[in-house]
Amino acid sequence: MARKRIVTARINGCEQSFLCEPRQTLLEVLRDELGMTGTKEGCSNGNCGACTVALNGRPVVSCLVLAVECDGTEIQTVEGLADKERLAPLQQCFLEQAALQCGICTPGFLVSASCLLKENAEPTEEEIRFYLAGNLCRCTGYDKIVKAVQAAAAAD
Amino acid sequence: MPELPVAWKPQAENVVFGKEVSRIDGVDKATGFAKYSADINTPGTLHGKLLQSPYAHARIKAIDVEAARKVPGVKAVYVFPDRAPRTNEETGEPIYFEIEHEGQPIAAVAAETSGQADDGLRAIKVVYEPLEFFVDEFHLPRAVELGRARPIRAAQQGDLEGAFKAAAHTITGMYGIQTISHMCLEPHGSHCEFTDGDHLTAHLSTQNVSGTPGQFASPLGLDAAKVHVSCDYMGGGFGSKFAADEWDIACAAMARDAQRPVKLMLDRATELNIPGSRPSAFAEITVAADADGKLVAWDSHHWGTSGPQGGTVAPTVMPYVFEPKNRRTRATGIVTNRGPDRAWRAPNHPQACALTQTAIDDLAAAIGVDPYDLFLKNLDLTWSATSRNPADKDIYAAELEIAAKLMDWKAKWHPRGEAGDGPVKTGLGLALHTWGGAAGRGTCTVAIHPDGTVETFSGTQDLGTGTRTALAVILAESFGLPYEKIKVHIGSSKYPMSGPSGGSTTIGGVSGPHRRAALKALGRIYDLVAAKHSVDAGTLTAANEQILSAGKPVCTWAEACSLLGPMKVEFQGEGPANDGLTSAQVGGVQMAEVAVDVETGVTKVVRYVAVQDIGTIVCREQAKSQVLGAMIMTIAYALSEERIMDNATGRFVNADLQHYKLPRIGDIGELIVEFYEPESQYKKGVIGLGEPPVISGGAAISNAVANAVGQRIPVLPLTPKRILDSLRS
Amino acid sequence: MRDFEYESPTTLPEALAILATGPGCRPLAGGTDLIDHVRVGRLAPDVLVDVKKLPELNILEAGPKGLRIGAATPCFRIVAHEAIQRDYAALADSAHIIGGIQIQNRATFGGNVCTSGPAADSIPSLIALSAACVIAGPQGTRRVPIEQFCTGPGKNVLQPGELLVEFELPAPGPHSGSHYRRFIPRNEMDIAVVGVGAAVTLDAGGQTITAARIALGAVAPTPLLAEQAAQAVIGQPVGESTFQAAGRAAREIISPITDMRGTAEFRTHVTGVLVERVLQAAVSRARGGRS
Repeated sequence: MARKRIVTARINGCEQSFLCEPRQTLLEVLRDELGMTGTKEGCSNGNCGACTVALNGRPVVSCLVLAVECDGTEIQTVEGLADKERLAPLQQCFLEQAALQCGICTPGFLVSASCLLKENAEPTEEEIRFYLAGNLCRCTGYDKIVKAVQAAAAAD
Repeated sequence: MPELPVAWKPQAENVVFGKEVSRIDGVDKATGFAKYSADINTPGTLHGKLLQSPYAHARIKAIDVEAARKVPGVKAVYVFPDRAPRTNEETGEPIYFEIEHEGQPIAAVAAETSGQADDGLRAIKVVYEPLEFFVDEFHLPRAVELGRARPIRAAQQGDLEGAFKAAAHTITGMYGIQTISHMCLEPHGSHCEFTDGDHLTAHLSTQNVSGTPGQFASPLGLDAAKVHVSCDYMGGGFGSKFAADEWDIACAAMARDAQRPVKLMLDRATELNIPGSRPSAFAEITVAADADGKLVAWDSHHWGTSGPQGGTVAPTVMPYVFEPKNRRTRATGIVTNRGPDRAWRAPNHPQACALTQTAIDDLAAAIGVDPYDLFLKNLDLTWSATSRNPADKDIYAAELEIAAKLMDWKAKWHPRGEAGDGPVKTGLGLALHTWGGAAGRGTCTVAIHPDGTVETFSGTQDLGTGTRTALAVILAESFGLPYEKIKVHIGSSKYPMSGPSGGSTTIGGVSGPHRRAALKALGRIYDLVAAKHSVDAGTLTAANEQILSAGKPVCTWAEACSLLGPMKVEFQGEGPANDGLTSAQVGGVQMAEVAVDVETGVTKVVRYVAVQDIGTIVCREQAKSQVLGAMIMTIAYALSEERIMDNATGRFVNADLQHYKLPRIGDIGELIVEFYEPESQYKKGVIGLGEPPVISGGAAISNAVANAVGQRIPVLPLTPKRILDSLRS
Repeated sequence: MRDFEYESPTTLPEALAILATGPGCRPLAGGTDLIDHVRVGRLAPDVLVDVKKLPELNILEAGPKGLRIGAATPCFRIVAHEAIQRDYAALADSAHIIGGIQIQNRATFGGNVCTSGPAADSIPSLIALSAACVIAGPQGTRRVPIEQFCTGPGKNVLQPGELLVEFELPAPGPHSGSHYRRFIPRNEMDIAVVGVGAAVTLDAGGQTITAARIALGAVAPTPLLAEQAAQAVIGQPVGESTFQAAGRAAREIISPITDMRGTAEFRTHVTGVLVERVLQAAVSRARGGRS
């Protein structure tokens, strides 16, 4: 058995150290070791985006990142989007625009969309749809997700 | 005072009922705090995983799990019932378990980490004797030859031969729709934990909270009273999550063995394969009309597979909605070695619609008329899902008109194939559907506290549809309170029994009991307020957190509730009841505009209109979301989604989200949802909406593609390959 | 997932030393293919050697002599690079459509090339733009033209202990343009059913094609340099009939398979359509840009 490694990363603004096996993905460690279950497992092969987190500010699928690769990185998950007691404007827009139903894809969409809005404060509809293509949803119809991101962009 | 009349409030008086409100669980979902089954991580939770058959059809000659037990981290190993070879006690002959499809579970392992569970699975040795398999659902003669075809039913009415002979227009065609999976974004599975020795708590992703404790109890030899099923949040079910499945039993059994909690969620490949599919259907259809374009005769034979059970689409729904007087319907099921079927959103209807209303559209094209006019002309032949009585053709006519306006149908429509030059052709198509949506069984306890707090307990579940929010809205409207203040407790088998969420029965099933309980509570409170404040109970209403008499405030809601005494008071609601709060029977019309690149076969749904009648609307925004979600599921099965079986290996070769193609956010064009809601609809009562909007879009999109490219592409999904193959043949 | 060790060297010699210890060592770049291959058991490495910290594999610089792309450069850096967008646009096209944004933030051209899938989106662009692969190993450094790198599905010329370090691309001459496009059934996130990359150079008047390289993906065991298709357009006037001739020539040399993504016949048809459309776009870039 490969020895466990100590990994230190800044997760949602707090420095955290954890032990992990090389074969553990970032997704596994977040959910099973750190109890941060907001990040969802949808497919385990990078095709649904439910496990999207921001790694050093860029959205990645945490099922295709090994936890050992994350030493010294900055990680943001859905749990880190709200500012203590207040929802982020993007989250507020997802609620107001009814951009969520069952909610499994929601954390991934929120993290991806928040990265988009940081990169591009005024995305066109086409840019929104392109940027969010890695996030799969089975039940909202996507329509309201696009509208929520547009509303959040307009609100900023 | 006499009991309050059982009814919804007059529509004009509603504050939140039927309006646009945000989900009460939205914050939990948008912050990651909502806990789904996979998110339950009680201390010591082990990871459960399945060992599954790589063969589509095989005998299990031997299983050896001993090495797995010794793998570091492995805490429990489970062999599914009957999988291990046994001996017939009378004859002494060995009995071998017969695997019927790829992916069928054989054993399970629970270990400290996911990786160690994988290590454990690799240590299990299984000896298979592969058997002949059959996964081809399309080529009926081959299935007949191999003895795998089962005639299901033939039904005939009228004078078929005479009608065809007398008809002015007849077309014959082949149509089809492939098997798809439910593909819930949250897979099936559970977290099981024993406490106090033999009390099981199962966090099960289920559409059937109240119905599943017994399903755990019996195979585990427990009293049902010792099983608690909990499902606070779930990520879709679409008809596939009614049971405590055999892998859930395995999870619980391993939890008991290991004396540790175990979590076993299906991985994506397994989720696509084994917990349910929607049967395929292919058909040869002949349909005829008279010189006026009235449908006069129908003859169809359809076949397909539901997997090892050998079923196909129920012949009772053929032909779909339009029923010529002279007709014959035949069906053949094919026994295949592929994952079994389960109810899939509007069971049978989407397939039947895709077979029927494409053929009727082809008839319109053959006659040379706009299908809009042909559909309109034949509305008197439509039946209702609930009774097979004639449908309300005026509603369909009104919905056709609304949809046509939203689509600008009359301006945009062109005769089939006349889409102009250039490689990208556009076209329009339409279809219509029916559904029942009657209220299911439901009970609830609404508790009112002396401080005015209102909470409700009901063993129903929220699949993601917004049930929780709907209950808050119903109670809030009844009591004149902000809906955010209502505490809704659902998703536990300890709460009053509520029926499974399937067939669009939930909203009716829960809204009736809640309104009834609320009215009982209001009656009591009005009596107390009337006595205390010397007003006539008959004049009282509840609004703005106050009790009013003839519109004038008498006291606050909290003051009124304090009159109930020092203890909370509970009011029970039951349903369904025949009191007008709920009813059944809805219909809808869908229209699609597509653009097809005839050089590559790529099709885009440019604009997609859904017009739907749904009776009384409880939560407008969530109702709209149901329709929008159904529309993307429809685009999926119309254009890209299908199970691809390999006839050479018997395997489901695209069981991953790279190759099982669901539309992404860039693949969806403009979606337009419109409810048909004259006053008569509000008076109708609450009806379920989950199924209907997913039915007719497949036919509408297929019809639009035919209109664009000039010919029918017979089998859904309309992949680029199918389109080019048809165009080039 | 199977157990494995993880190493993350920071110098190239250190990395090569680890890779030399045995065939169970496998370089890990973005991991977007590799981690899934390990998860499903297609690969069972003993050691994953993370090469993302090696400076040589992170080079990204364009100069008068051409372009250097470190093998571990993630796609997002390639998409965003101005000189690439301007002079090597086909590379940006490829990097922009490999997976979704999440994948592009991890996946690398080196990884895409070393996975050596017939449908790899980066390879036709690299072929069209005449890239050379710089390979370091126990025997020193060697260069292999990209069209000779892959030897079969999932197979390539790398010998045990060797590591793909970077790609070197010559600077395109004036009046040049390039483009990559693939056929997929959805808008994004699909594996190419057919992929076509092309680079063209026009005469000063922009009317005649003076040089061209056309590359095809997903239609043979390895991505192909379609020399016959290029020959069909070199010296020819820009126009539909020229592009069609290239499309016909391309259809002649491919050997596509039938699988769940498409039949051989479908791929053959689409190859012709795409070659025409890609040449059209490359020519339009050659006319529009400074290059």
